[in-house]
This record gives sequence, C-alpha cells and structure tokens, in this order.
Amino acid sequence: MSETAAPVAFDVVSAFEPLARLERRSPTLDGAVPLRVAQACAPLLEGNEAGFQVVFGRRLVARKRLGKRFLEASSALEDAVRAHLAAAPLLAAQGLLGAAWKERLVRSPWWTERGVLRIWTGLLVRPRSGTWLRVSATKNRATFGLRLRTTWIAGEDAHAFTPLVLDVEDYEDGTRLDGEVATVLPARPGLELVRAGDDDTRALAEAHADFYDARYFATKKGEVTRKYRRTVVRRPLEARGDGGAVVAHLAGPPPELVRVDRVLGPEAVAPRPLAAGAPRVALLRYAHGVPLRVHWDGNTLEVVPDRETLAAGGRELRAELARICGEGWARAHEGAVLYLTKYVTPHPHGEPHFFVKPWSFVRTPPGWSSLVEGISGEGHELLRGVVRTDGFHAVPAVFQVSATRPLRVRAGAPMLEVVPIPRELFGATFAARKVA
Amino acid sequence: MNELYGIWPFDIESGPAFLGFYAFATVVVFGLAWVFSKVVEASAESGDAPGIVSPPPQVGPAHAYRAAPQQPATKRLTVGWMPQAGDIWAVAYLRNGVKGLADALVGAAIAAGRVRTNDGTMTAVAGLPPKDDVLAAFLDRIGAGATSYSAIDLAARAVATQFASRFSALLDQAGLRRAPGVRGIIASLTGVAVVFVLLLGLVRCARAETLNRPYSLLVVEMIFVGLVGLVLVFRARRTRSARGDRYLAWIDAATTSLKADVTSGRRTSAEEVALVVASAGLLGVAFSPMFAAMAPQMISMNTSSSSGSDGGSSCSSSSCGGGGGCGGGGGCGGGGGCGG
Repeated sequence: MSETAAPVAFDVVSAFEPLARLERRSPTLDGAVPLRVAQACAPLLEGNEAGFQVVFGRRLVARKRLGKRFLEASSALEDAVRAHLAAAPLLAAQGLLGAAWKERLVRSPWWTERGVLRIWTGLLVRPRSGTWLRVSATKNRATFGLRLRTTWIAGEDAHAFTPLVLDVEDYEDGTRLDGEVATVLPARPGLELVRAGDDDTRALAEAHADFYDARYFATKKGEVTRKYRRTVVRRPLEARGDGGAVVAHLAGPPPELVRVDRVLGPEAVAPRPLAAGAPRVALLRYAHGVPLRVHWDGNTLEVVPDRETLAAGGRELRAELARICGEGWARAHEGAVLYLTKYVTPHPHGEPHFFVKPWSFVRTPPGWSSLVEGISGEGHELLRGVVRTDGFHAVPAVFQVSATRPLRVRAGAPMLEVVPIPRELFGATFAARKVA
Repeated sequence: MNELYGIWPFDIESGPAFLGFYAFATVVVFGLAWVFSKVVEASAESGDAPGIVSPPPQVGPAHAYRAAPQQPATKRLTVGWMPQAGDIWAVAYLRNGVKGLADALVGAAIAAGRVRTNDGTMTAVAGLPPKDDVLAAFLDRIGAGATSYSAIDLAARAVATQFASRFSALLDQAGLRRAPGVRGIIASLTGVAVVFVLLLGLVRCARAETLNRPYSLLVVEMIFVGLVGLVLVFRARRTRSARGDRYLAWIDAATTSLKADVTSGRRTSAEEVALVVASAGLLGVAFSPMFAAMAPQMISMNTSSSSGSDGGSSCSSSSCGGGGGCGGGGGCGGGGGCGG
C-alpha cells in the first residue's frame, strides 16, 4: 500500500480484516477523464490524485427511514462487524487504541450520533509530527448525494492512534457504500493565512492578468493552451516569488477565513478543542456569490446567473480593481477581467460541467498548493482540484450537475473550501502495519 | 380435610383449569429463577476476565541518567490477547471441556503430519517429540503404525482427561471459569424453583387423593416439569463463566479469517490449526484439504458424541449456537483471506 521515496505523513494500523483500505488514485481515474482534461487540466488531475481514497472492500447499504439512519443488515455488514469487534480489543490491548475509543468500538463499529452515521473503517491512523489528516468525502468519482462531515485528525499522543471513522451526514436511502467513499489527505498546521493588503492585491491582479493575456484567449478559441502546465506547473520553485499566504477579495461575498480549532484525536470519540497557542490549519470558505438557475438535459447545459447580482458584482469588481490598480487597468486587461466578471464558464457541449469563478485571488508560499474542494449541493456535485496557488491565484469551482431537473443554486450557499497544503504532502505516503 | 387444600391455588377447579395454571406457574417460577440467575451472573461476571498478567520484561539495568524503556505488561487468556502456544489447549478446554481439548490435540497432530490418512486408513507417524508437553503426551500415547480415527480420538480424550486439572486451574486463574460461590447460588436458585413447582404439584396430588379425584394428568405434567428442571439444574452447574463466554465469542470473531485460511488450506501450521479447532471444533476444519480424507469419520464421531459431551462445560450456550462450532458460517462468509 505504501510507496517508497515519498515522505511518510502518517501511520496506519489495522487488525484482522478491516472494512476499508487506503489507495492512491490515478490522476486520470484509470483513463476515465476526458482526453482534453488529461491533456491540460492539471488542477483536476492533481485533485483526482490528492490524498488516499478510503476504499470499502465490502458493500454496505446505508438506509434512512423516518429520520433514522442505519446500515442495512447483510452478510457483508455482519462480517465487518464481527472483524471489527474482534479487532478493537486487540488494538486496545496493544496500547494502540485509547480507552474512550475502545469503549465505543467494542459496542459496535457503526453508530448514529446526532443524526450522523459514524462508521469505523477498521483502520487506525496517526499523523506524523507536524501533520494533520483531513478526512472528507471522496470527490470527482463519487456517489451522488453522499455527504460526509469533514474531520481533522491530529496526533498529539506519541503512541496511540485515532480510529479512521467516517461521519456520514446525508445520503439517499439505499446508498451503496462501496469502493471509494472518502479521502484522507495530509495537511500541515501553522500557516498564517491573512487578508491581502492593497500591494499584495495589486501584485496578484497583475499575475492574473499576465496569465490571462490576449494570447491566451487567442489560443483558447481553437485548442487547449496548456499554459497552466507550461508556466505554472513547470516553473521552478525559486521563480515563484515569496510571501505568506494571503487572500485578496475583490467583490461579492468575502470568503470566510477559518482556523480549524477542533480536531479528532486518540483520546476522545468527538473532536476536541485545541489548546491555546497550538498551531492550526487555516482555510477559506467561499459561498455562492450569484444565484444560478441550472438545467442539464443529458445533452445541453443551461446555466443562467441572476443578471442583477452578476452585474452588481462586476461593477464592484471593476471599481475595486480601479482603486487598487488604477483607472484604465481593467480596460487594459479585458480578458483577465472578463474571466472573473463572467463568473460562469460552461464546459464543451455534452458535458454536465461548468466553472464558477469566485471574485478573489489566493496566494500561498512557494511550494504550497491549495486544495480547492467543492461543497456539493442538491442535484449537483462540486469537484476537487489542486491549484498551485504559489504561481496561479484563481480558485475556480467546477460544477458537475447530477440531476436532469431544473436546479436553483442560491447565493450564500456553501461552495468551496480552499486549504493551503505543502505540495510534498500531496505526494506523501503512509506506513502501514497489521497487528496479528 | 387439610385446611391447606382450601387455599388458592390449591382450590382451583380440577381439570384443564388447574393443569393450565400449573403450566403457567411453572413458566413464571422458572422465569423468575432465570432472571435472578442473570442478575447474579451480571453482578459477578461483568466486563472482561482479568486474564493472567505477566510483568513487563526487564529490558536491562536502569541507566544512571535515563530510565529503561517501559515495556507494557502482557496478558494471557483475556479479550484482546490472542492465545499463544500452550494457551490454545486452555481455550479448547474452556470451549468444550475434555472433548474440546481432545479435538484440538487431534487437529494439531494431523496438521503436524503425525497422523496421516491413506485410502481411508490412518497411520500414526513417529517423529521427534514436540516441545509442548500436552501434544507430546498425546503423540506418545498413539505411538506409531496403523490405527483408526476412533482409537486416536480415544487416546486424545485420555490425554485431555489427564491434563484437565491443569487447564481448569489455569482458567480459574484467568477468571474464565465460574466461581464456586456463583455456581452454587445459581444452581440453588434453579433448584429452589424446581422444588417449589414440584411441591405445588405434590400438594395438589395429595388433595386429589383425599378427595378421591383422578390426577394422573397432573403427574404426567409434573414428570415433564421435573425433567425440564433437571436439565436446568444441570445447566446451572456449568463451569464456564459469562466472561468465558465473552472471551470465546471474541476468539471466535478474531479467528474468522484464520478459519477461512485453514479451511481453504492456505494455513497449515499445527498451532494455527489447533487454534481454529480450539475455537470452532473439529467440524470447523473437517472440509479443509488436510482433513478431507477423514471428514466422514470425524463428522460421524463428532455428531454422535456431541450430545454426550462431558460436563466440563456444557455446549448449550451462545458460543456453540452462534455458528462458531459449525465452521462454515463465520469462517467462510467473511472472505477473510479472499482479498476483502
């Protein structure tokens, strides 16, 4: 399961036959992505590959009746429960499982807690020093409608491990939990993420304009430009400038700057607050800025943004750029500004995908990328990407429409989570051990 | 007429009315005895057995400036700790007394290649004595040369009986057997219930005799109640504690994939086979490649003898009924080694 040469970000322990295993995905999802994406869309490819997928080896069926959430009785569930009930005392006896977790897991490896279905995968994880683990729903090839609560695992204890538990918040009745269900991604706490001042905002706007220059749009009309791959992915680290992590907000609802202060650990079955002064993971949460009407009929996609909100946002954005970069800057970089003010860009005909571009820029220190994780809503999924925000500063959301009925996406609904993560952690691996 | 005969329930109308009442009273009294027994069991045998705690191994002399690394204490015969080497016999004995231990010995001998089958005949093969004294005693007893499954089974039972006291003591030490006091209370509760119900019937019979009324149906009912009572009292004498049941259930679950591996022939070491037989019985491995040739004899011997297993620990509890003993259910379904 583990690879060599890459840094080891966390340890994994299991006993007997765990329900799940961790697997690295191929960037192209085993050749399933469109050729155009495979040729040019590095952020999506890196998003596909990011972290480790929690792959269920047995098919469980999640049921929801009269508000009660549970797993359907089956031989697969019986086997999993049997193996996990045997594993928990063994792991506890080895000192790998804390008392609170043991008490919980010897009763059942799955349970409901305040409406959330919690399922122990049979794995225990322990992040290495200076590393956290982000556990969330899998993306880009995922079960429609399956919503997992994102949890962060920190390993303060040197010895004990934390059970890898998936918190299933919502799903359709009868959802099959099989194959890739969740993603475990290492992250690093301690990065300060702040709102950009005018100087930083100006520099980011210039970088954005450099990328989306007239030549880019001229090429884009005929074919894929591969500019991101040529100029961002391949740019050496020393040529990426410096500075801390900033977010430059131009218009629309400002992204929420979040510092994760509750983490799951080996000592308690629920996330606990971090000690004062302890390093935290900083991230950004974006909400939808413009209401959208979306309809995918299997062949054509129609996305209609609310005209007034879009126009108001465009005016606000141009005014902010004029204030920071000077009058006439927007006119000199029409393409780069249109990229933002257009807000929505559809994918080629026949695909249920479209882009939404928040009106802000993100910059991370050299060597750091940003996990751009969509927050799915009713009838649509938002994909996962990894943007090298030390060289490219837009953080677009990619929609995948999963229903053929007309949908409405309201303004203010959660849309994206942007998490700066050192690039080395995207390629990091884990050390696995099986207790017998 | 005795005044007692005029008191309820002895004055209930004869015939179906009293017979029905008697059956109902029996169920209620036995039920109460069962509930009280469970209360006693729950209070005396809650949680996991403490097992046998071994002190942490001494790594070396303490350094002047640095404490020696602390090694955790190890435990045996408790939930969370897989049985090692000689403890496997104790698990077998806990599960099914002398019969369980004998089965484990047979399984280990076959897995070690010391008993072979050829064209329906069995041959004990000579070899170096194993380090384990229980297995060594068994192999010594069966010797070498042509033999039969029944002779091997008989030898195994003899050796198991010989070592029974050792494993009883070990299981007592681990807290997996019922304390004599608890056993006495539970047996007494059951006995009192049986005696009470039979006394009730006896008084009614005496009343019927005085009034010169027939009571043969009541006698039949009392005989039935007495037989049920005997079974209950016998069961109340079981030596395995609730902690022992939980430990066996855990071993059963913990060896799910091992059972699948042994059954499919992927694992063949004597220790692994003995552990599977200890937790699931010989029938649990009867269809594995190494046992296939003698499966018919094993099945006939085990099915015919199971009802007459000795009283070391009765096989009526959840550990046998739950699929552990039948091998197929838990071991095969889980796909333990099948890549799941």
